[in-house]
Order: sequence, then C-alpha cells, then structure tokens
Amino acid sequence: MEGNADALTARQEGMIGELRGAIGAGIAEAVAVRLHRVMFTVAAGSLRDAVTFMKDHWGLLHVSAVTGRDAGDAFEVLYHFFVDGVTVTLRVSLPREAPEVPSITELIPGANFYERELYDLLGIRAVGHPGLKRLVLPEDWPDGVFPLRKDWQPPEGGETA
Amino acid sequence: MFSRLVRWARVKSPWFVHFNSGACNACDIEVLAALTPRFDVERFGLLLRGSPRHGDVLVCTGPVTRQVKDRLIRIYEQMPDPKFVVAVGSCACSGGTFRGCYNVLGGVDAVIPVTAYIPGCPARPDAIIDGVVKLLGKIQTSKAG
Amino acid sequence: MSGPILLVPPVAFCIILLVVGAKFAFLRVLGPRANPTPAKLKPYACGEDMAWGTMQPDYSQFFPVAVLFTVLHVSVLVVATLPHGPGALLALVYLVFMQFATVALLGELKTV
Repeated sequence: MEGNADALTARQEGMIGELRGAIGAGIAEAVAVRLHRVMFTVAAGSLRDAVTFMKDHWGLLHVSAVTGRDAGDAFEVLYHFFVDGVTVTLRVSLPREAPEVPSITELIPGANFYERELYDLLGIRAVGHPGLKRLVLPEDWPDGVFPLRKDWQPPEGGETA
Repeated sequence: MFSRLVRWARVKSPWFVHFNSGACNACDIEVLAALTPRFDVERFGLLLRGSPRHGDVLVCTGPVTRQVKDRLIRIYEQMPDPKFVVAVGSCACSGGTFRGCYNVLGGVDAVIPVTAYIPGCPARPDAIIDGVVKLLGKIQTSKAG
Repeated sequence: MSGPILLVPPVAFCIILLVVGAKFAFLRVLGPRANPTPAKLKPYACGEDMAWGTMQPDYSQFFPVAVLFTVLHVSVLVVATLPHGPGALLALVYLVFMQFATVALLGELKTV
C-alpha cells in the first residue's frame, strides 16, 4: 500500500505540474489536498483551456458534478472530474454582478444539465451553452428569481404558495 | 335502507391509488412493503389500482411541491365519490423537513382534504397498517349515501 | 304461460330488459349520490391536462388491416364456393378486382 500511496502522490504532483505548465497564469492555486484529491483555482477565461488539456492529455471523458456556491461577495463554480484515480476539482470564482462562466458543454456533453441547473437556481449563466433554460423549478416560477442565492427571501408567511 | 350493506361493502374492499407528490421514495417503499406477505395489509381488502377511476382511497406520500400540486388535484378530482385520502409520512402530514422550502407548499392537506395521517420518517409498515385500520373505522362510522 | 313462448326472441328480450333494468335501479339505490364534476366526466385519467388529440391512440393502421382481412377472407370464401359453368367466370372477375383492392391496402400499411 505504501508504494501505491507514493505512486499516487507522485502522480498528483505530476498533474499539478502539467496543468500549471499548460495554463500558466490562469491557475491561481493548485493544491493536492490529500490522496485522491487535487484542487485547482482557475480563472474563468482559462476554464475551457484547462478542460481541453485534461481531455487531450489525461483522457478525461466525463464530468462528475458541477457545484455552484454563493460565497457572499462572489459566486463560485466547482467542476469535479475523476481522472486516473484522482478527483480533480476546478474552482472558478465569478463576480457577483456579472455571474457568467464559459460553458464546457461542447467539450463535455455531460455538463449540459448541470449548467442548466446552475442557471435555474443561482442565476449563473453558462456562455455558449446550447439551450440554457429552466430545469428544476416549476413552469410558473417567476423569471429572474433565483432561490439558492443567499439574498433570496421566501415570500411572507413562511409558506411559498 | 341498504346503508348497512353499502357501508359493509366499502369497509371490506377499499381499493387504493398510490401517489407520490414529491417524496424521497422512502415512504413509497414502506407502502410497498406493507403490501407484501410479511405485513400483508391486503388482508383488509386493500387492492392497489393503477387508475384513479378505480380508487376509493388516495394514499399520498411526500410534501406537495409546486410542480406536482396541479397533478395531485387532478388525480384527486378524477376519483369517484366517496373518496378518502391518507397522508403517509411526516412530509405528507406537514411538510416534514422540507416545510418552508422554496418549492414546497406543505403537507397534503394544503391541497386536498385528508382523512387519515400516518406520521413517521419513513412510516413503518406497522404504522401504515394502523393508519389503514383507523381509516376503515372512520369509513365504518361515515354516512353511506 | 307455457315454456316455449318465453324463449321466443321478442319475449325473451323484454324479460331480460326488465331484469337488467331492475338490477340497474337496485344498484342506483345502493350507490353514492351522483356528484358529476368536469374531471370525473373526462374519458381519460391522467395527472396532466392533455388535449384530446394527443391522447388518442393511432388508428391509422387499424382500418387498412381490418379491411385487408375482410377482402382476403371474402376472396377465400368465393374461391371455396366457386360455381360450375358461366358463374365461375363472374367469380373470377370479382376475384381479380379484389386483388387490386389487396394491393392498394398493402400500400397503406406502414412497417415501422
């Protein structure tokens, strides 16, 4: 087992080095949090380049999940991938006034519904998405009201009816 | 004149329709388990039907979400009289853990009138059988007509 | 009343009508108060509010198949009961026309 752990650590360090080398200034931070877990902080403009690099060199095929987060002063979108036994997360920070992130649906089709859900619940627009529309909320939900934002309050009375 | 006969017939053969109005499925699994030979709620004459046109009782699980509200009302209106509603699980009784969420209207009684409440998360099949027996007792004392 | 007269179709029909009518009346008394609502009067039970056209089954194949069945079986009947003499010629002319109908109906059928 120790040998495996060392090999994995080396692989993770290699991954960090390769992606840093390919993207350069777009990656603000790259940390191997623990075994099987690497997190990168990527600028929004370099997101597609990073995903393309991972597809070409690491054999990336699927996205595991896309998480949206309202961090108070900014929005964050985390893309989780699983390559070579390592969960790689790309964290993108977006300004609160203009929450737009480049869409990775053309590169990885599995991100289609995740990006629609991001738009539906948080209002984060995935630019370049082929067909960004409501996914989760009911048809009669008012437009422009995003319930998972921290500044959304339920209507008076406590019950949404 | 025949009210005793009619009431006997209704108590001995309550056919039910199962509807999941936004539940996590745990209560649905328990309803299904109650139908299996181990708990055997069918000994009371209960029979699961596929169409609301054949149902006397609507067994409803889950908090009512905004999306399902219209469909639940339609299914309830399509059932013939006399009809009864059983709310299974704490979500169906009051909204459960989801009460006050952005998409949840509350328990089933926010939308349609409920006859029997079966709390639990999920409600055990034993509790479901107890609730069914209480419902049958209510039908027994109701006015036939 | 003698037995055989009860079996005569008109009389039997009236007797059965009376029996069925009595059963319906009895069940009306047993049943609940009539409470017709628009949802109960719709023919299709569904949670969705669908337009009539979308919930109708596709009958476009039913009638070609049914008429093809009729044409082929009538042709078989004609062949089985072919008369001797000049009548046979008429029957054969009829059969030729039926084959045109068969070909036309086969063209209406879809394979998918």
